[in-house]
Amino acid sequence: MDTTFDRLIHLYLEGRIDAASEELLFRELAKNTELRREMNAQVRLHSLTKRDAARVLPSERDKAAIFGRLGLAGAGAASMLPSSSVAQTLLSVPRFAQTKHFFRTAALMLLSAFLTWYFLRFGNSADVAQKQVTKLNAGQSAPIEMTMLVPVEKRVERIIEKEIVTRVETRYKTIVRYIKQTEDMTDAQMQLAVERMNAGDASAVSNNTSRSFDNVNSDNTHESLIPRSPFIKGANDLEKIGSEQPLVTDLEPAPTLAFTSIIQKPENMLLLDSLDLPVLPALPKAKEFIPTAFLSVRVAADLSGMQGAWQFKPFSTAALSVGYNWTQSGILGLEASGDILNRQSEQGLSVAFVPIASVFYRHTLNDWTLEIPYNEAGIVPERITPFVQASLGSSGAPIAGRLMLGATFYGVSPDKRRFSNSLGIEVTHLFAAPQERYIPKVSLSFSQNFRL
Amino acid sequence: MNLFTRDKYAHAKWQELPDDELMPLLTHNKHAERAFTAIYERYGQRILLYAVRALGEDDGHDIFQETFVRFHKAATVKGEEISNVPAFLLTITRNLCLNHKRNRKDTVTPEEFEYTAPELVHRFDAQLESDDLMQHIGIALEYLDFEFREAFVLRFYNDLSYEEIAELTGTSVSTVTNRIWRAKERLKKILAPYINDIEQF
Repeated sequence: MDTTFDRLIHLYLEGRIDAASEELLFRELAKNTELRREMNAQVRLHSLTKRDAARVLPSERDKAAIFGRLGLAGAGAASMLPSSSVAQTLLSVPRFAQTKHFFRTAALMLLSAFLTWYFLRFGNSADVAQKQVTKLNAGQSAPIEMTMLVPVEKRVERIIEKEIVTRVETRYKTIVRYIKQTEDMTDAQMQLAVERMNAGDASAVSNNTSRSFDNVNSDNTHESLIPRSPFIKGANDLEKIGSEQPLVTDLEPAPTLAFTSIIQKPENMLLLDSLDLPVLPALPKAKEFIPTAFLSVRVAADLSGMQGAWQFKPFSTAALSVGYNWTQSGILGLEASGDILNRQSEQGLSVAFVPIASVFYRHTLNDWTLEIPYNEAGIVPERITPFVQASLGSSGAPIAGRLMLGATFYGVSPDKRRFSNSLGIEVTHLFAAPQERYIPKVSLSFSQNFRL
Repeated sequence: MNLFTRDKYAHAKWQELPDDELMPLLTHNKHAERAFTAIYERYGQRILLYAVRALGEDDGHDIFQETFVRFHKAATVKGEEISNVPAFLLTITRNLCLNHKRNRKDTVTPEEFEYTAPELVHRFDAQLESDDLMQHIGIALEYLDFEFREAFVLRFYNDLSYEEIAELTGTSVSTVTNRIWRAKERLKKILAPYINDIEQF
């Protein structure tokens, strides 16, 4: 077949043929069956390309990738995401970290962590404590501050003749005590009391001091009063004195210092301790446990949205809860929350706001507590305790369940436990009717806790 | 911000706004996302068609995504004046495709484009895994030389005129005409066994 006519057919279909060529083409078409077949083939090819073009469409994955890289949320696209798995969510973290949502969330958490640190560090400062002392001792003379050394046992493993032997060594830490002045006590009498105390006579201050605030040293409370220090302050002096004293008693109880007489009169005097050595007090024993209530404000970010970063919902959960430390490790509480959940119904996927009222139980894993030595800069929390929390609640007809795994950051001494942070991963699910299924939500949860 | 200033875009029909009105809004605090979404939905398919049919499914989607990211950066970060949005988008896509083609050139043997028609048909049959005729054209296009394939795609998928194709590719109209014709000829040969199964309009 003459390819010239093939080309004329092409030009004709493209509208680029001149009148003379068109007349020639149609004259040939009238008598040439094969040319008509060729024209038919070209028309079909055009048809094929048009239909092919109509079926090539940008996918949601394309859109998610583009909008995610640009840090845009993708208007109206939130309902397109299918349910997600935890693995998919975690795999999408690197991509999510490039979006502005990540920085917003991180900034919020940093702000909250900073506030907690601030309150830990300055919320109950010496000035505030001093005011509390003065308030409690209203009408009485200001207490006298004195510093003394307290022995602290420390179990140390040593290799003795190729065997590892654990023995008890004694270190000293300084504590600060406030001695109450009685109204009729003169300066000379007070000085005498201090000197007598330094010399070892605990009765000199027995009626003038209150209880030690912390039971944290209870493991190290000793039987008799053996004063070790003169009236000194400062670590250098401590080292000096410590080096002059026999610090180690092999495999025997260390020399002890008891404040039995001091502890006997706690009625109206507040006592402050400051620990100068990096020795953290032990966790309170169960018998010493004091039930406390706390208020928690929690927000959670929906991690499933990270698969399409434009769908990320930074505050997919907002909750207010009140808890009560029922036991040393168990907390019972009530929570009111608002959750944004994806809902699958016959009409397709949609986003629903669901208010949920629930009861929760939090089990604190005290044995897994991570203790961080005291940091002079004070920028790290002093103790991190993991926890597991289960919630069961309702939002009208559907039953809501939530499981959370996280950790709480808080200060060691009781006066620093007023504020704490919790960070965790939670899974929320609403058990509804099959025709209106809610998609389980995996969230990163962050809460600010206030002890009441 | 003046609270009493009426936001004229608060209830705008974004898909109806012209490009020159959407472009300045890409840097607007409140409306940037909607403006970009409107442009994406307006030109997304055209760009994807070019990228996918010029480079294949896998690479085409990557190029498509990269095109819109670069377009957004050009309009917002670099502050470029973009008067013709589709032409700008196509130019970005084409440059990305050419770079991509150059980078993977060594992996494709030149002989691949020199097969005779029967050989191509044989390879084509072996590659087809589905009876879906619609897949034939996409696979067949991959056997064309890039210049021919590009001209064909721009003409029949992107509906550009010969003059627009010539301007975009930096060639003459006669060259474009020739390339489109040769592409069509080769496609006809590859698709000859199936062409009668294709329904007309």
